[in-house]
This record gives sequence, structure tokens and C-alpha cells, in this order.
Amino acid sequence: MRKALVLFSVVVLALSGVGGMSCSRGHRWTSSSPEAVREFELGLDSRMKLYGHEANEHFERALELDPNFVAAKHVLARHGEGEERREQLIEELRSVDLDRLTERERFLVQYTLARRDGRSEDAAAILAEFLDDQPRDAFGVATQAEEAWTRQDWEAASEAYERLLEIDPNWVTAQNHLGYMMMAQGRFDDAEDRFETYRFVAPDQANPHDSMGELLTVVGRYEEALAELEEAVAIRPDFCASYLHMLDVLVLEGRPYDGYQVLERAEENCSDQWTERIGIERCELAFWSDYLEGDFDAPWRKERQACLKEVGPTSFLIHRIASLSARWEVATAIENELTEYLENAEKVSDPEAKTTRGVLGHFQGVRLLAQGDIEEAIAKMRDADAGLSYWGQNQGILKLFNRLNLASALERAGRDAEAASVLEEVRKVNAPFAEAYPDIKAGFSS
Amino acid sequence: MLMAILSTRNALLSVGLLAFLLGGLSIADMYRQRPWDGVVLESDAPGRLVVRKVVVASGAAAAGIRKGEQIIGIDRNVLRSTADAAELLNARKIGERVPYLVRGSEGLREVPVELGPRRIGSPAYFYACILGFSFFFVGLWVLLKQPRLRAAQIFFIQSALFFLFLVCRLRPASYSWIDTFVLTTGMVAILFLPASFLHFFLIFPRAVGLRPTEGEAGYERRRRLWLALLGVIYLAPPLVLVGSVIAARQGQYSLALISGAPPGNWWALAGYMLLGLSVLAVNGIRLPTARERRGAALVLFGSLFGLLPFLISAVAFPELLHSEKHLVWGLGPLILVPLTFAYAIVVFRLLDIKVILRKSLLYTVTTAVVTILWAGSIVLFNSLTSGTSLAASPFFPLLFALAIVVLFDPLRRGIQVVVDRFFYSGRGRLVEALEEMGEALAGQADLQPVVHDLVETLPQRVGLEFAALYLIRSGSIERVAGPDVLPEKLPQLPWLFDRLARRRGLTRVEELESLAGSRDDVADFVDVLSRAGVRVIGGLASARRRIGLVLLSEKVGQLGLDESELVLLRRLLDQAALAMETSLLIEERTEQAELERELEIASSVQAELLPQSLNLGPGWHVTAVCRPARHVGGDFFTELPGPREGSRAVVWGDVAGKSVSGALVMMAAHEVLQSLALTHRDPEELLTLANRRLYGFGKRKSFVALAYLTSSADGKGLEYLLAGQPQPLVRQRDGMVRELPLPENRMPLGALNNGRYRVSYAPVDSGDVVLGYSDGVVDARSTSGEVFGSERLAEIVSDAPGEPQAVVARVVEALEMFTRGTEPYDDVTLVAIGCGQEVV
Repeated sequence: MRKALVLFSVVVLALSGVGGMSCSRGHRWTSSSPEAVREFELGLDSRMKLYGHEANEHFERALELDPNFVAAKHVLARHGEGEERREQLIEELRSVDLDRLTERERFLVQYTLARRDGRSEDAAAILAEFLDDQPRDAFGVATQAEEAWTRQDWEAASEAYERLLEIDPNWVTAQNHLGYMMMAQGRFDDAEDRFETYRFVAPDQANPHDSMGELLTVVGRYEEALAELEEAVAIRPDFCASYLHMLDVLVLEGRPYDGYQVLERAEENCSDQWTERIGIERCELAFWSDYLEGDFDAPWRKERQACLKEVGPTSFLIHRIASLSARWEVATAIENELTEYLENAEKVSDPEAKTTRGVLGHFQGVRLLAQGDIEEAIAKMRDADAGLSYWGQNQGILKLFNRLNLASALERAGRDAEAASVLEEVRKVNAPFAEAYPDIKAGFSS
Repeated sequence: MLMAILSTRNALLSVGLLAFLLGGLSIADMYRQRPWDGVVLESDAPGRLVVRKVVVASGAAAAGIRKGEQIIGIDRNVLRSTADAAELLNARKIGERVPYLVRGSEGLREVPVELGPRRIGSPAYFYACILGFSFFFVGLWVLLKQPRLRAAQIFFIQSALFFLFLVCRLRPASYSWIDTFVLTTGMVAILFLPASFLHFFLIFPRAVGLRPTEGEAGYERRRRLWLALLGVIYLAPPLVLVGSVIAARQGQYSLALISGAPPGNWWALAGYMLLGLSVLAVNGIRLPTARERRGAALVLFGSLFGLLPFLISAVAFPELLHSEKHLVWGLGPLILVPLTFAYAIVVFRLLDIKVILRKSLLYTVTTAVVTILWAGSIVLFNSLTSGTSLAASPFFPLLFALAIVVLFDPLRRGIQVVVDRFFYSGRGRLVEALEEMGEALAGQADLQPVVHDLVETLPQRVGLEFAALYLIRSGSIERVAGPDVLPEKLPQLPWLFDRLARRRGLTRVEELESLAGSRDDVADFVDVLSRAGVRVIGGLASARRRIGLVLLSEKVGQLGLDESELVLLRRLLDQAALAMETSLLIEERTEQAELERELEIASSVQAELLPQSLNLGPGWHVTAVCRPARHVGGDFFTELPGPREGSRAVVWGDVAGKSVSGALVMMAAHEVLQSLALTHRDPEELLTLANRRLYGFGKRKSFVALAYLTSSADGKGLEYLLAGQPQPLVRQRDGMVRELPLPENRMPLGALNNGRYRVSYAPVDSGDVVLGYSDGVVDARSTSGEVFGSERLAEIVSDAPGEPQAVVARVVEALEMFTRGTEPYDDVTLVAIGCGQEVV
């Protein structure tokens, strides 16, 4: 009997060990309150959905349930509302006993404090050390990806987000950012897959529909784009970015007047922080109406003065109208604003500078083309094309628009084949937009 | 020892029970309904869930999912692997609609899929389960029937491991919590299965030379080497696994697995199995009989053809073609393995098939099969003849019923004959063989052929390692035949032998332990026998006596005798006992006949010693007769020289004791008297000297009653001495009978060292007859126990004619009449002396 007991015990022990090893070990958050942990996880989920305010509410509730919940403090310290509150939480994090935290929590706290104190190298070292030890920790890789994204190092960000998706394929931020990066590179089908996947994983989120709407706008699928943007605001009526994107689609479709209804909905649903922006868009809509009707003097009429100020000194549409109506000083002034910005602004990242140079190049190209300096216009527009990408709806459409203007300039220079080639590139990306070429070309003729 | 056997058996059964439970859990998991989309994925697209097939009418088919498309996400989750997919589906219920993200030719799309029911267990898995259970139950039966047999224990372990491997490892993952235990257990089985396979063939059908036998020289050292070898065999595959894991980590590559185990372990499995089969081949060649060699060859080729395809599909193909999809094809031939093992069980009789399939069950099954056949034929016939005039005929049912009655039983019996011939032929052959032996034994009268049959023929017929025979001779139990490893003599254990006799059968040695209780002598005895390889012991006895013991070993192939064989052997041994008793009786009779012959010779010699006639001198007539009670006796009469010159004396004696002992003393007494009489004629001196001589004769005292009678010097009377003999009677002429007076000293010769004797005188008239007699005359008994007595003697003597011969004749006749129907009680001597009458 003893032999039987010993043998049985060994077998049971072995199986228990196997079973125990097989049980998943997840990282846990250090908290005395399971409810607090639940609120915290809801907050993380809201952050993933880009519902920042909602996320912060969850984190604050978690802290109410457990005032010592370090992970909740860390997130609020980085993304919470109000600088005072963030400062307070940072101070609390400084006095936390790191030894009682999990490895991940320790990393997050140390990294956040290093970033907060401006110790970039320390922060990078902390991140690198954590990733060496836990290369498959989703939060560590996400931090690495966010860092790259922030400094607009798209290659590093892309690699980090891909790795993040291997670890957790449902990390929707990664899907979204990768989609934008692919869209920027002109990989529209891949980008569409990303946004489609994002939409599948998070159908109750507005952002995937908005992202998809932007992509579809760039590739000329305006009806689908509008449907997606409508879906976004149906899910989240206060998702104001989608209203603005809708306006662009309506303009591209030649229906700027329908945009006013959209703006009314935006005014109804968006928070106060969007009021100014809505005002600008309203003015832009008016100017678009004028432009599409061929009334290039309208922006400088008295009734439009207020809008002229509203739209700001770097308005794309005002520059174009000014160029087409030979108001060189207005166009040049807008260009100078951008130039000054590039020369004087601090902390302009390389990618941002590149994009701004692209915009500036387009502006200059349009003016030069209107002035008749074809070759120079072509050169500027080519520079603009190199600087612009398909990142998002605005830049993507601008890149296409720049190419149409380039095609017009090439045609005027007698380089029809090149013009046709450029036109074909536009057609491949957005065939409906390519059909606007005659109108664009005609604008320079008048 | 019994407890050790039981504890080992219980330990193994516990492991078997656990394996069985895990197998049951695995099967339940495989065959319970779970939600499924109807998609069969490609197994050769790691990391991607590509649709290989969409089941018709499934949710996936209704949703428009097609072959070749890729499943990107299920239920709002992006998938990394089939495990993710299974887990997500398991969390849902049958009938629910679940969103799928599918990549097709036109790009990604989301479709709702309604989940239907599914059982993961496929026909291939079902077949693997049948194989697994076949192995398990064959192994279990072997263990239950032969729990002490090491080969049976290892066979059971091997069967359980095969079971776990087939049922728990060769199954698709269900991604439920059961997977953890079941698949891991199956992988553990892969680690230890090859070792058990090799271990089994190292001890079956014969233990290889490496395995030590208790009692052999250097046993302890060889035992340690054997255990070390087994340790290496069992530890090597787990070490291969650990080494593979370490190598993968060091090289920072992911370890490729084939059905859960690294390729190294599968190659180890293949190597061990081929090694095991090689050992079997070598072992098989050396088996003593052709039948056994054929059985071993069958096991070898059956295992080879069963295992080789499996090893190719499970090891070679995954390694070379990087695909496991051919593994299922290797399962088909695996059925050969349990089938050939089962056959080996029958051939080597690890387990007599009749225990598994008792005759009644077998016949019931046969009857059921025949019934089903008939029912089927009825249905078939009905369907063929429906609508015809035959079916419409009112006689049709009657004819059909008659056909069934007429043909059913013969068919059933015919099938039973075939079944009996297949399953029970072995038993039949054994019964026939033992019956033949029994008949041969019954006709034997010599001991040697019986011994030869028991010790040489019986082991061959039954398949024993050896048999030994011990016979009881001169109070000790000596080995007459059998291996020298057994002791020459066995201790006398009357208690044990009584028990054996009472059990009236062959007794297993381990059962003797329970009979022994706390008796050390019996325990020692049992231990000695066990070490020598004796497994069964039986007593040989007839109605008259215990003859000996038969000791039987286990059967060839480390088998034991089952109960029915013990019953057969008991009957055979009863016949052997009879034959041996007959032989012993013949031997005794022969000895007795020789003894009787010698007694007759002795009788004639003794008779010749007695004089034909006795002479007492002129005027005296003597008639004497001596009738020994046996062949030879202690009575005698003789003539001696008388006390005076020319005189003669008559002496008659009666030695105390009869038969040979009496005759020998009689001869001595006769010779003593004859020798002494030559130099000492004086009767008193003669008897005194004879007494002294006879007193010191031999270690045991032998008295001789003697009477000495001679004529007196004046010739008118008799001088006589009586030393223990009764007083002679005197018949006077008128028929009156008187006794001669008793002398003063009349102790028999040899009774006292200083015996003295005095001559007495008795006048005798002419016509008187003096009758001297030994006490055998008066002590003779009739059938009713009545004693002849001196009065009857006197009457007869009185009635007899007055002649010595007539008197003797009358007395002899009367004695014969009186003692008719009885054995003679004592020697009878009559000496009649007539005075003045002629002797005829």
C-alpha cells in the first residue's frame, strides 16, 4: 500500500506542477482593493478607446477606492486633467516605496518621474533595462512605441507597434497608429486592413470609424467615408474630429453648403473647447463656397473680414484664392508666416518641419505658377510632394492637390508626359479627385 | 511475500486507474458538444488561420466564408493561433452569433457566424481510442492474472503508457482546462513508453543474461548492474527532452515539437522500439521449442509491421516534410501490436484465453451471432421474395420456420466447433496428453517409468520448467528425481503433510505461508522451495500410506498453473500414486515371496534336523511329531545320549517365540544340547550347562522349555527332567490318565543363570503311554476363542488306543478339528513313549 501511495503522490505532484506551470501568470496591479483594480482596468480600456475624460474618471475612482494605488496615480500623473493635479500626483509618486510594487509598476513610476524631470537619458535607460528583462511586457513595448511615435520616428514606432501587436493583437492604439503610418506611406490597402481590424476589435469606439473615414476620403471613397464618419458620431456624438472630417468630404464632393448642417451638429454635441475651431470651419466653408463659385474676391469683402481673421494667417484656401487672384502680397505673407515658424519655433520635430516645408513648398509653387514662373513652380511643388505624405485626411488630400497643381504646371511647361504621369499617380490613389483636375487647371488660366 | 505481491499489484493498479481516469477525461472532452463555426483550418499554416474546409450547412458556410480565406479575428479579438480561436469559441454557446473578421480576395470583411455543435473527436481519434483501450485491457488482464510475474507488471505499465499516448496525446487540442492535464500526461507517456517497451522485451519471453537470478554467484553485484541499466534506459528519454529544451534556449530558437514532444524524443522512441524488437528477435531464436519460436516470430513481425509505419509517419515525415498531417495514417497498422501481443498471450499462455472468454460467454456470443445471421437472412429473404407467390403462400412461414429449426442448431454447433478448436485446442491437447499419461501410469507396475513420467514427461506436456519427486523411505523424505538445486532430503513436517493431505490437491507454495501461520519450520521449508523455483507442491498418498511429494515449478515463460490445470494434475498424480502404490506392493510382495521361499527352505532344513525316529532303548517305543505354527518354529525334539552307557534320552523343547526367531533359538538350543551331550551325559549336568549356555545367548533373553526323558536304570520306569515343559501325561493300560509329578526345579533353560535341575523318576508299566507335549497343544484356540486345555487333552489321550502312535494321531486329529478355521497359535510338539509296544 505504501508503494501505491508514494507512486500516486508523485504522479499527482507532477501533474499539479504541470497544471500550475500551465496556469497563466499575468501581471497584477498592486492594490488592496479588487474594485479599484477593476476601475483601473476600465480606465485603461477607455484610454485605449481615446475616451480620455472617461478614462480619467475611472482612474480617479480607482484612487478613491485605494488612495495608495500607484498605477492609477502614474497614469493620472501623465494624462490627468489639470497641471496642479498632475504635479500633486508626481510628488506622491516620488515618495512611493518601490519595493512593494511589481516590476512593471516600478518601471512605469521610475520612467514617468524621469520623463517628468527631463531626464531623457535616464528614462531611456529605464525603459531599455525593463525591456531587456521583460521583452514581452505589453506596457513596456507600448511605452517604447509611444516614445517613438511622439518623436515621430515612424520606423521605430512602426517596429514597436508591430511587436506590441504580436504580444497583444487587440492593442487598438497600435492598430490605429500603424494604420496611419501605412497610410502615410501610401499603403492604403494595408492601412485599410489595420483600420478594419481596429473597427472589428472595437466596434463600440468612434475612433476606428473616424480613422477609416479619413483613409476613405484620401482614396476617394467619399460615400463610404461619410458613412464611417457618421458612424463615429453616432457612437460618440461628441467625437468632434469626425464632424470636421465630414466637412472636408463634403467640400471634396462639391457640397460645401451641406457642411453647415454638420457644423450645427458639432456645435450641439462638441464641448466648449471646440467652439473656436467650429467657428474657423464655418468661415472656411464660406470661403470654399466662394472659391467653388469662382468668386476670388469674396474673402476680402467686408462681410468676410471677420472670417478672414478667424481662419488665421496660414490658411491654405486664402493663400490659394490670393494666388489665383494675383494678391501676391497676401500669398507671400502667408508663406512668410510658415517660414518664420520654421525658423523660429522651438522643439519642431524633423517630421513636422518636413511637413511644414512641404506645405510651404506647395504654397510657393501655387503662387509661382500663378505668377507664370513655371519651372520654379514645378521645383517647389516637387519639393512639396517630397515633404508631404498621406498622413491623415488633410495632409493626404493636400498631397494629392499638390500633385494636380504640379501636373498643371508640367503641362504648361510643355512636359505633357510628365504631367500625365503625375496625373496617373493621383488617379491611382483617388480617381474622383483626379477628375477635379480640369477645374484646378482652369483656375490658373483665369 | 504475498503482501509484497499484493502491494506491487495495488500500486500498479492505482497508476492504471489514474491513467484510465485521465483517458476517460480526454475522451469526454473530445466528444462533448462544443460551439463550432464549421471551419476546418489548415494545420500547415503556423501562425495563420487559413480555412482548409467549410462544413456544409455550418455557420461559416452560411456566412459566406470560403476555403483559402484567412480568419483574422473572432468575437472582437484578433487571433494569434488556433488556440486563441478555440478558447474564444469555447467561451460562447451553441446557437450564438459571433462576429468574424475574414480576409478574402476582396480584402477584410466582417461577417456574423452562427455557432453550431461539434465534437472534436474524429474517426481517427476514435480509432486511436480503440487501440488504446485494447492495449489497456489486455495489459490489465495479464496483471490481474499474473500479479507476481515481473513481465506481466512491465507489460501492464507498457499498456497503460500506450493507452495514455494514444488517448491523451494523439488528439487535437480542445483548449479547455482538461488539455493541460491530458496533453501533458500524454507527453510524459511518450517519455517513458520506449523504456518500458525495451524493458519488457529484456525479460520476455526469457530474461536476458543480464538479469540476475537469485541464488546465482555474484547475484548482488549483477543485480546492481541490472538496476543501473534500467535506470539508464528509463532516464535517457527525459534527459533528451531536457537537453532539447536547454539547447533551444541556448541557441535562442523555438523548439520544434511533433505532437508535443521534440524530434529528439521521437527518434529516441524509434530507437528504443527497434532495439526492443532486436532483443526479441535474439531471444526468440534461442527459445527451446519450435512452437515458442513461431510465437516469438509472430510477435516480432506483428510489432514491426505495426510500429514501423507509425514511426515513419510520426517521426520521419514530420522531420523531413515538416508536416504532421500524415501521422494519422500511421495509426492504422498499430492495431497489429495489441493483436500480436494478445496472440502471444495465448501462445505463451501468459493468460489462458479461456479465462477471458469463458465458454458460456463464448457460446452465448456464438448463438447471438448465429441469431443475427438468421434474422438478417430472414429480412433478406423477405425482401427478395416480397410480392412473389412464394411469399403469399400460406406454407411459406411454416417452411421458413422449419428451415430455421433444422439448420439453426447445426450451424451454431458447427461454429462452436471452430471456436473450440481455436480457443480451447490447447486445453484439449493438454487434457488428452494428461489422459494418455494417466492411462500409461495406470498400466505401470514399475517405479522407474512412473518416476520418468512424472519428472520428465509431465513437465514437457504441461510446459513446466521442472518437476521433482520425493519418496518416503525409511522414515525420511528423499529426492528420487529432480534438479540438483532442490535439497536431497526434506524435513519431516507431519503437520504440513496432514494439511496437504486434507486439501486433497496441489497447493501453491505461497498458500503454504498462510497455512504456516507463525511456524518457523514451515516458513523455512517454504522459503527453501521458493528459492529453488518450486511453485506448486502436492502429496502422493494411497489409502494405506503416504508415498511422497511432488514439487512443480512454474511454467515455461514464467507462467503459473491455473486452477483447472491443477485439477487435471491432481487426477494425474492420483493415478501416479496408485501406480506407485502398486509398484511398492509388488516390491513388497516379491520380498515376501522371497522370504516365504527362504522360510520354506528353513522349514525343510529345520524339519531335517528333527530325527525320523526316536529310540529310547529296548522295550520302549517313541512317536514324535512337531508342527510349527509358521514355516519354522521353536519346537523341537531330539535324541541324546543317555546318562548311562548305551542309554538314550529323548528331549523335546519349546523356544519362547515363534517363526524365525524361535527357529533360530531352537537351532541354537538343539546344537547346544547335542554338543554338551557328547561330553556331559548326566542329565542334571547337561541341563545345567545348557541353561548357562543359553542364558548368555544373544542380547535378548530366549527361554527354552525343555523336557528330558530317559529310561531308568532298571528299565521299569522313566527318569525325567522338566525345564518349563508341561507335565507329561501317562495313559495307563486301562485308559486312566495321570500326570507325571512335577520336579522341584523346572525353570526353562536360559531363564536363570544358575538354574539347577533334578532328575525325577516315574514308574511306567507295560502298556502305558507317556505323552509329552509342548504348551502349544493345550494353548491352542478354536475360532470361538476356546482353549484346548489339558482336560480335553487328557480325555483324548484316555479315549485313544493305547499305542504311542495312535495317541499322537488322536491328539493331532483332535487339535486339527478344534483349531479348524484359525491360524495356528503356537508350535505343537507331541512325544509319545510307549512302554513294551511296537513302534509303527
